[in-house]
Amino acid sequence: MFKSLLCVQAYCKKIIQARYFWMHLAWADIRAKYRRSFLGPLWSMLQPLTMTLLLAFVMSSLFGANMLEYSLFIFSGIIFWDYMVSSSVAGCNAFIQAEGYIKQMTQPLLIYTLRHSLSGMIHLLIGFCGLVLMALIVKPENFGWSWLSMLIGFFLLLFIAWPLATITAFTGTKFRDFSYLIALGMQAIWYISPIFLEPSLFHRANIAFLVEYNPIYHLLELFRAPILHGEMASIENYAYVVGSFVFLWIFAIWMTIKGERELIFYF
Amino acid sequence: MTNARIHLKNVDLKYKQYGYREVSVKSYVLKRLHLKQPHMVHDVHALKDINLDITSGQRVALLGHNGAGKSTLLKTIAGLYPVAQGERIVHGDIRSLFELTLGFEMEATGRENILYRSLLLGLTPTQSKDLEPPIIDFAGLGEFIDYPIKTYSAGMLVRLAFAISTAVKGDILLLDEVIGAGDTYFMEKAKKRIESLITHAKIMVLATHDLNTVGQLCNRALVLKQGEILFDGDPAQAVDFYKELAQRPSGI
Repeated sequence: MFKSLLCVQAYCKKIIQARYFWMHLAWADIRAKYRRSFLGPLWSMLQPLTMTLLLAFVMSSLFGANMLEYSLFIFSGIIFWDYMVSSSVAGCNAFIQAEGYIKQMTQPLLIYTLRHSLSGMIHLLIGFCGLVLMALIVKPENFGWSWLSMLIGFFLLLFIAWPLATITAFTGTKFRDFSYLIALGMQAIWYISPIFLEPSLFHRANIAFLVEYNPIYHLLELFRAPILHGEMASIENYAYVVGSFVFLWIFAIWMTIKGERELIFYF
Repeated sequence: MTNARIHLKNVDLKYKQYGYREVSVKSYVLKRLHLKQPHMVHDVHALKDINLDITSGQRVALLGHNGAGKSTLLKTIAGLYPVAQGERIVHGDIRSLFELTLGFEMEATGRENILYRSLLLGLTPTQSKDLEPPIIDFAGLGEFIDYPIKTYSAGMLVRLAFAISTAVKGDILLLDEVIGAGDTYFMEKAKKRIESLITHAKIMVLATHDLNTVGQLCNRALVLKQGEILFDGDPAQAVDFYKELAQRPSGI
């Protein structure tokens, strides 16, 4: 037990030593994404915003809700959900994309999944700026100290996306069609979670368990509680998120211990 | 200052068959349901019972036909492959040159790529800035250093890649047939650079098909065939042994 703790510590040290490298990789991904694009990083805000307005228009017509408030609700879900999706799906190809590096230099493999979680986080932050703007317009009364708690939210979010990307990366390298499965899975979760559908709908339809026991719901609450209600998320929300964090890391560490040394054979 | 050393004892390396037989969720399911007859695919025994001790001051050439195991041995020394059996002990900073264009971003300028590649090699951005002038000088690209490298000719790419890769010194230098590309003028420059690297490095292991450089650059040579070391000793004798081996009909 002690020996494995030392190994984890040594591994973390190697990751920190390689920090200039993975920071560079994350920036390289962002540069590549927006190269020669007219609007560039603005797309990280425009794309979820457009989707939000579309959904809000349809849903508010169907359910008679206030479109502006509903837009804020959807936008505050979409940008974080997009981050989870991109981290998991892009994570599948993280090692495949880094094949050249893996076959020529010894580095801890986790830096290749960290790179995806980081570059996705930067997209998220651009979208988040748009969210803050919208919140200050639609519900300025919610601005307050509770918003500081979102910093914890971002930290937890990054350290949930990272092990998730690691898990999909190890699996996706061994089974090259895994990314399709994940994409499908994420689609399914999108429809059964309170991301663009309000929690009250689930309660009315007697499927409240899809809200209460859904880690996605609790993760989103870390940001929705301050923005939509002007208060910090509840202890229950944090408990679910921290629980997911622990579970994902145990799984990711296990996969790394089992699979890192021999991953090079899968190329 | 630690002494550089490479020690391989009874090392066996196998390429695991699960790495190259068909892997997808579909084929896994079909196999489980016995709907698909799998072709028999085995582990490839790439290195067989390798015993090798390289100490400070030795410059070792690896000779052998294509597929003999030269690149595999280099990568095993570099620690990229896990050994199936045996002992691998390596002391010293490893600098490996396996593929010159590793980490190059085609849309970025030559100057930017110097930074990117340096970060890959483990340098900090400040250290990379210090190395920029000698790299630019060696590559001899003039104003093109500030053009995107996708505008470069093949020769220019090789010059830049080589200049960056050889700018950082290490204790153990592993080279995999990288002295092949480039025009004559560049080849001379490259050889001089390798020679200076060699004098700084404590150990060099070079896989090459260029039998002339073996005598010039190395003081020890190995001949590999099908994963086994058949000869280990003087470079000139090794070259003769290898030439003789090449003349025998294959299979003997």
